[in-house]
Amino acid sequence: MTKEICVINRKGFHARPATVFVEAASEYTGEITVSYGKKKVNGKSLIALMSLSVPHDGVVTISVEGSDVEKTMKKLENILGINYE
Amino acid sequence: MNKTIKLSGISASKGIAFAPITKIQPLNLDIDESANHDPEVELNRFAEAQKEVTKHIETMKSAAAKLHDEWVIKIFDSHLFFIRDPALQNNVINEIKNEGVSAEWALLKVRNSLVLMLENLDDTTMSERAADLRDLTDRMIAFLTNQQWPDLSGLEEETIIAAVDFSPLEISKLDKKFIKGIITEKGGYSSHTAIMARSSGIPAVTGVMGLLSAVLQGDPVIVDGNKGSIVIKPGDEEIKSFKKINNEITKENSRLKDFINCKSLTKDKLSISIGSHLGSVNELEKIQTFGADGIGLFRTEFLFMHENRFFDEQQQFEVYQKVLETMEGKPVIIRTMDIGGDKNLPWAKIEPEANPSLGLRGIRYCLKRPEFFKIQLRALLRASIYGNLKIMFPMVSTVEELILARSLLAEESTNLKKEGKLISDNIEIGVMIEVPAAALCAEQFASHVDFFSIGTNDLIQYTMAADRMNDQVSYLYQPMHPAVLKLIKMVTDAAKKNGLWTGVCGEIAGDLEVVPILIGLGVIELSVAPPLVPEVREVVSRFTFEEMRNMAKKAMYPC
Repeated sequence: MTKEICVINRKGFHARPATVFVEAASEYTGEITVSYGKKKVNGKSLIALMSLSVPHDGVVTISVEGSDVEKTMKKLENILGINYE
Repeated sequence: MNKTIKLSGISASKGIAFAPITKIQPLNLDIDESANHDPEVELNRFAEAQKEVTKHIETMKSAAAKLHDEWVIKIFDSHLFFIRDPALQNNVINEIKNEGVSAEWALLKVRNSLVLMLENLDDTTMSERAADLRDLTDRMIAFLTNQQWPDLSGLEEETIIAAVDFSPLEISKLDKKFIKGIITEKGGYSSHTAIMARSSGIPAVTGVMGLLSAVLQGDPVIVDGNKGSIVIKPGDEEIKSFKKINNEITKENSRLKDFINCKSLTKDKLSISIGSHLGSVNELEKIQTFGADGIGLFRTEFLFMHENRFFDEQQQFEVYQKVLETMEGKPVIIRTMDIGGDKNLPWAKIEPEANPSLGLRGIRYCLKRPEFFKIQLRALLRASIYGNLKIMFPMVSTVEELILARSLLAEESTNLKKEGKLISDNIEIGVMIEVPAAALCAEQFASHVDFFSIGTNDLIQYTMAADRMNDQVSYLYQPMHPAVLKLIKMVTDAAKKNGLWTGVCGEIAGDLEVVPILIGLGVIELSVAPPLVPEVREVVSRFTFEEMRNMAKKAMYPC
């Protein structure tokens, strides 16, 4: 399952939101990838997510593969829909 | 092996202390690169390092949680994350499997490339993460190579710390509560370690050759910051003498109490201003305790060093506002960020230079990267209504640089007014005189500023062509050299002629022998480490201006 999601956080997708994202992603047994621009990275790696440098209002593509995809996607979508300031 | 060892160095910060030593050895990264290792063994070693370091960090995290130290807890949280991060873990595992290298070499190689990647992102907050990643992997490498990794953030007992030297970043992270004394192998009176020690009132001796090989972890040590000497494993005699000196210092301190809350006046009642340096908001309390007349030098770059990231406009504004409000109308001289030189910060992305003291630093950097500079200027202007703000620019060599900086300030002032923000119309602007060229041409600067502040640390270094951090040439670093004094006189003369005032914000402002000479040269404002304020005030009160002027003449023209 793939979905495009806009990053609400005022400072973009890193540090705090990325940490929360990775926490949630790591609980999932299947595969999660995040793409931004031409780059596609493992959604369970904080270092890799930070390397994307997604700014505020940037749109990322999240893909979830495995069981329970819809529930997981909803969870991740919620995380990106918050401003962490 | 119970022999007493005495070593000497430079008296960097006064006071005396007696406590066990915590020795900080630099991590040895001279690692075996050979490719003949058994991957299975190395994979196990890597897993073991992950497990051990996790355990260690969990322990430190719960200790920090007890102290409610949110900032430290956050650092440990990100360390815990990084330990099992797939980008780190998978790459290390691949290196071990495919190349047959040792776990430590694989880890070093992978972490170096990841740190480089994070530092090169166009995002200043990332360098903070890069520093965390480096710290964490250092810990793992230390474990894998059986090296000690003492943790100064987790200190629980009074100790004296010993190291080759500390970087400004390491210094800003030190938990000063348990640190009773500081000893370093390198550095002199003006090194960052020395400056921090003085401002915190911690006794320190720097430039102690052979220190780390002479002292063992946990050895009892006496640090005598007055004499610039240390005694390792002292005998009964030395301990007795320590107690005696310690008593005398306590007595002297109570005598100086009278000078905490009085005006700074010469014997003939000429008013002088004795302010303090400030590096972080935490030091404000100290500044009030010792009764400073104001803040003579707020080193704003230390804000960014402390957390290893740039502060945005709002964050900077809040800091400046707090400082101005706390000082309740007393003068607060804020220096715009002086990065570069020996204060390189990862986010500032200054290319390595062959000669950083003569390179891109101070105002040069700010004019080159106005996007950072403008943020600071806006924050300063917005905070100006909360107190008596004075702004000064560091490392200015030519009048053109000063005019450019002032025009950026004027531009941001106009912008803010358009946005409806209030700005004080009473902000004095000054220029730091640290470059001999600026001292020689002080007259030209006079019509563009309200005051001069002589940054003697750099002025001495540039005038004498002697690196202040280099022990080999420290004999040339002479604050009282007639060449230095004559330059200072040129500045005070230019100030007087044009109705300006002159301050000194280098370390010599706190040197009790130099203080009367500076005032005799026409300096009317001094900025010193907070604990030195009462002593300097006492010295000033002992002489009339005429007496000090004669002392200055003699020093300038020795026969």
